[in-house]
Amino acid sequence: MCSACIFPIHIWTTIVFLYNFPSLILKANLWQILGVLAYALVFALFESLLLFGFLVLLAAMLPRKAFLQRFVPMGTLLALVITGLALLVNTQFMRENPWGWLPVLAGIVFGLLASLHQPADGSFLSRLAERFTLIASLYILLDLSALLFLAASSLLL
Amino acid sequence: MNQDQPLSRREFVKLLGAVSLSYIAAANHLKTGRGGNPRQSSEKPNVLMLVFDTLSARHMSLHGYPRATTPNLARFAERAFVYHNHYAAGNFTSPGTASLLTGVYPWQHRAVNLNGIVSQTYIDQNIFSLVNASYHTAAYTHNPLAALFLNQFAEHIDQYHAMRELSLAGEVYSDRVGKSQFPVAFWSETMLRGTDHFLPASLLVSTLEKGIQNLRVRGIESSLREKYPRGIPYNYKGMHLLLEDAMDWIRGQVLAYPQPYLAYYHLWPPHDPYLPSADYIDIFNDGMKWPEKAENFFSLHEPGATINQSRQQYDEYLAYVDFEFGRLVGMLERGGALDNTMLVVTSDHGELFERGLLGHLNSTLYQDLLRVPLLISLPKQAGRQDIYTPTSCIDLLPTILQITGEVVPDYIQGEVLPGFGIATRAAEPGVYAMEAKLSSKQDATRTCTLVMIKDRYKLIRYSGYESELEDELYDIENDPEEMENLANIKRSLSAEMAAELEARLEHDLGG
Repeated sequence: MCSACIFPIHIWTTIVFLYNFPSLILKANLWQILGVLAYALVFALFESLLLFGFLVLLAAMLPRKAFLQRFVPMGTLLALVITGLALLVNTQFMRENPWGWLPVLAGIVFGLLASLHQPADGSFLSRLAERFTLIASLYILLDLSALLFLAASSLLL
Repeated sequence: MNQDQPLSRREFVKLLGAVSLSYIAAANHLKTGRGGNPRQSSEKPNVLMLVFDTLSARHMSLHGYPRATTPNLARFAERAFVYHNHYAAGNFTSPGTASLLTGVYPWQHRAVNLNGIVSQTYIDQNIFSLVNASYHTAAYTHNPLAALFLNQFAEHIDQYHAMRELSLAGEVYSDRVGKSQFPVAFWSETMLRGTDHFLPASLLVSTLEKGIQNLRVRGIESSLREKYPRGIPYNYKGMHLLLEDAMDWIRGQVLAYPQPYLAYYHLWPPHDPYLPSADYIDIFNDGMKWPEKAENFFSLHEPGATINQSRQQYDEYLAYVDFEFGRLVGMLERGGALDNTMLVVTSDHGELFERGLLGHLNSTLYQDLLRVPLLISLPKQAGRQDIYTPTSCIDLLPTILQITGEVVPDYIQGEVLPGFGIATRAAEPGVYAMEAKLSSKQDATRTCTLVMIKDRYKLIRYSGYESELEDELYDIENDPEEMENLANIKRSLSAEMAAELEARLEHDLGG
């Protein structure tokens, strides 16, 4: 399920980095651009762990049976719902319409209810979480490299 | 001096040479070298630089604007050198401020992009590095773009005050990671927190942070609603700030600094959003009409009514800034802080309300964007000197170096300002400006707008844009509104200036 937290956050970070890349190459050298990417990846790792920690905390509050059987599908669904809603919250639509919070709240409630009604392991969401694992592992490798890069930069500069 | 009859540089030099030299001599400012223990020297004047972001000289009643926007600056001008044709080197903070601080044009320092930084060379070649041996140096800015430079120069700044020191709400976190890493951390933070143009990379933390900040801002705004009915001013990083807080803070700082000091304060107002205190709202609701100017290639087709309303709000905000400036000067005088202090007031660029354009983030270089104030008041100066020679922001650094007795290095492109550098100023140097935010730092002249001002003429050259745009030539003495393009009428002059501009670039960029 950790991979379900890592995957959407890192994909979004990659999209935003690529969006910003043309303006970065105007003013920064390669080393600096790598630095920006490193910061973004490390922050994505931090946010992924934050989200994972939140879901673990939530799961710890559930009854033992539900925790054992539904942790992966429930967590996967919640991770996707939370990142999706966070994306929505930052849109122009939300900034311009204060009542836009209503669908967000409704989304959170729906996510919670739907996750409680997920079938046990082997569901679609569990299989989806498994498929995220490979790419999430790759992202973790990149994150750790980025962390090393930043540590080395701060020591060298 | 009769303001209605501006003098040429040569005439000016003859008339004012003795007067200005006497000011300098009286204040013990003549070049003295770097020996002894200069940091505790009482002979050197303190230098207090106030940069008001986005302050267009063309909107100042001091420079003839019909609305009474700057009565306090006009009062201050009665004991200052007043430069009536002073030009920024670019149309937004990065090129304008970098040129001010390094004494070179944008194509040299290369801070031409939004959030741009100066080239490696200028990290150790700037106003702070040049006076740091004999001066206590201090700097503060409300403006994140200027903070990029100040962090680059931080090794030479004894007291660099972080932006958060004067923020009511809102924060820039990247300067906590170490000054050498600041630009990269700042660009990353910009990406993580998002901009007006795109969503943040950080979906969870930045959203939570924004929510918390919004609650804080609402609390502050509700407590100050009576005084600031339109809201609390904020910079583009969402840091909310009050100019009066900054002025009170500056007074406290300059009284505490060891002398001699050089303090650089770069204040956000009157940059947009234009949010003056209640006393200044609607003071210019006068229905004044402005010349209709034809739109051009860069126009964003803003409606005339919107432009006029924005202009009025800018003017009102300017009057508020002027009041706060007057209050600061009063406080400094009462505290004796100006007795041995040279006070410099200027701006990094102007603001535009014409041709379907609003603000300054465009690719034009019309007068409202380039003409900025420059007032220099020496310690114990009693009279006013009006100077009409075109001057550039890059001239300020060599002038300060000359007045403070420092050596002016050869790499500086600016020249000592008229009134201070009689013996050294070249005959009628041209003044240049550049806008190149669409170009890369490495190839800054690829897509750019260039300006050359010489005597009464101003040439605007557009290079590398999608459409091939013709040069513009204006007689800015007789046509200050830049209504009539003379490029096709005075063809030889236009070609001559264009050739000179090209030669200058070729010389500076090494072909």
